[in-house]
Amino acid sequence: MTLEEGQILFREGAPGENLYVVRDGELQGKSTLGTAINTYGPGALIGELAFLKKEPYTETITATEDCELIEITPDALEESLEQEPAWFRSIISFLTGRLQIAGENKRKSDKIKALPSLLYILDSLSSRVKANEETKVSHAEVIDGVEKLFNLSKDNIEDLLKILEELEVLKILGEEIHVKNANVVHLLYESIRFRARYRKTPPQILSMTEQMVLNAVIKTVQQSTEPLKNGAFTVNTESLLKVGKRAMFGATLTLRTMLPLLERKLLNASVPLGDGAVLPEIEAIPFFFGDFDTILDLMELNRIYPLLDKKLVK
Amino acid sequence: MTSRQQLIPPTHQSVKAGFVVYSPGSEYRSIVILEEGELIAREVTPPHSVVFTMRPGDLVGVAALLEREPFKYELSASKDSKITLVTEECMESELKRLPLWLLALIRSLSAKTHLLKRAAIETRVRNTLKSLAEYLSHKSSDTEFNLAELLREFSFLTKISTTTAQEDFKSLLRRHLIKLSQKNGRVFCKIVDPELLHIFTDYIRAQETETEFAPYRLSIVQKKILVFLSAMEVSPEKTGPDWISYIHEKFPDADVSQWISLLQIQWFVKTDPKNPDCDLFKINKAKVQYFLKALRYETNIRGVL
Repeated sequence: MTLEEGQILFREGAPGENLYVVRDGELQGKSTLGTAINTYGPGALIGELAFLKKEPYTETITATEDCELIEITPDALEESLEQEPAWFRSIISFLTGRLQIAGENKRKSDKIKALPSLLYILDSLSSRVKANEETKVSHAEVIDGVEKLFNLSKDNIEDLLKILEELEVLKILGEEIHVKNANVVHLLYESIRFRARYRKTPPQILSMTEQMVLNAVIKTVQQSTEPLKNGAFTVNTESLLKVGKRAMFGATLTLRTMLPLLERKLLNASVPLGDGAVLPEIEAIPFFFGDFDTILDLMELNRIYPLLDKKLVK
Repeated sequence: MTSRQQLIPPTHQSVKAGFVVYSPGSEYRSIVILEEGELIAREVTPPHSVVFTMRPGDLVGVAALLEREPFKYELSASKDSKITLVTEECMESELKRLPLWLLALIRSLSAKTHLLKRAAIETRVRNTLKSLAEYLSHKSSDTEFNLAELLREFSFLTKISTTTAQEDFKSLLRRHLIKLSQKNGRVFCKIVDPELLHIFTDYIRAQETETEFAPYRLSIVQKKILVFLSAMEVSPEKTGPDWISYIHEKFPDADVSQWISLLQIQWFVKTDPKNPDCDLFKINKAKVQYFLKALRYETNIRGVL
């Protein structure tokens, strides 16, 4: 068959049927999923997976000059395979499946690798317009930024945004993206960056015991009638112990369990604890204090962090 | 005899449970097709974990035979089994018999898989300079950043090699879009103007898509209007016809078509974009500044200093 310059061989999404071999001339393939342009010259094959798997064509192919093509129909394939030994069909099917899997793995790996770029852009845009709690950033600016930084297609960026939406990190509202808590986005980005650089758990990721202690602290603060002072909370030890009994699922709240949080200044004791070698009984400390938002942000990060990897590899 | 050459037949074997069908040390490559029974592939190093189990109809060794990819597991029969071995000679004789298009199809499936596997470990970024400019456009202009840290973070984000990124830093330096300085043996980078870097990324994108960059296709009248609009301290709110006559009064060459062009390049926006009935327009100061900056620093952006 021949095509004149500018003629379309097939459109993206059209049901896959024939395979084409370019004999002469040049064609270009463009997909709405990316900006890359594929060029097909003499000897090139067009539409292999669509031909073998009967899947829709993945790009629109246009002749950029007058072309001559060989059209291979599914009947021609069947006729050829009938003349080959039975095992040969298995090899074709294996190679097809392997190409498909490689494509899927590539798409998955692209998304995983693009997440830091998306968080970097979201963090940067959120910090520019940081409001009280919820921050609005332009949907188009996010897409534009990630596309320029990482060269990920719009559809894949949207998929990543949806994952973050499912994790309640943000909400997509038409032209705007509402970032629920810009600090959490920043913490998430820094945690992933730390993990990639040092190949170990980021310091922001808390142990189960630390999370249970902070959960007890949050509940105590929420039940308290004492208002926050510039975001700082104070909880008296008696109330904390009462809440701790219920909130720590059998674990006992002691200064030893609280020590890692005290050392990191997430919690502060109202009396000095020395070097921590000999700790007093928790009842000897009248109250604890700290920054409430820092604790809430950290707990939110610890909720999201383990879920994110699972969502990405799904 | 037809044009098809003779096929060297594959080997059929019956093997007992425990028989090692393939060992990674072997010089012989072949595709193993399991007809009956069960085969298992194990790691060759302790604890010799089972990697996968083959059921009748499964096959292994295609990549090893066709692409010389190493098959690193030991394959043994876990039950009495019947197997078919397609050796190199057998495959070669088969490939020679195929019509050319089918041979090309097999080669293409192999080559594309290989490319995808390689691409999965390489950077996706095609234009590394655009990517670096985008990355730096999100940094503030009032900080001196340690260059080594910037390189590390950029490489983490994009998987672009440090050597490539260093070349791109030089390219931005030549354009005066960044400044580099040295203190105590360390190199520091200062962003001259993040917005200028952002404009630069838009310029590169226009080049990639072979479209003309909007700020560099303005007519003389449009450039005059741009300077006029940027000098206006307050942005009045007027209807379209009022703006047309206002602009026409200052620039007699500007007519309705000019107004449409100015709307297309977003120098004017509706005062209430969410209200479809809104007919009042104001100057889009941010866009006007963008165009003005792009023109003012055209030599930096084009890299023709």
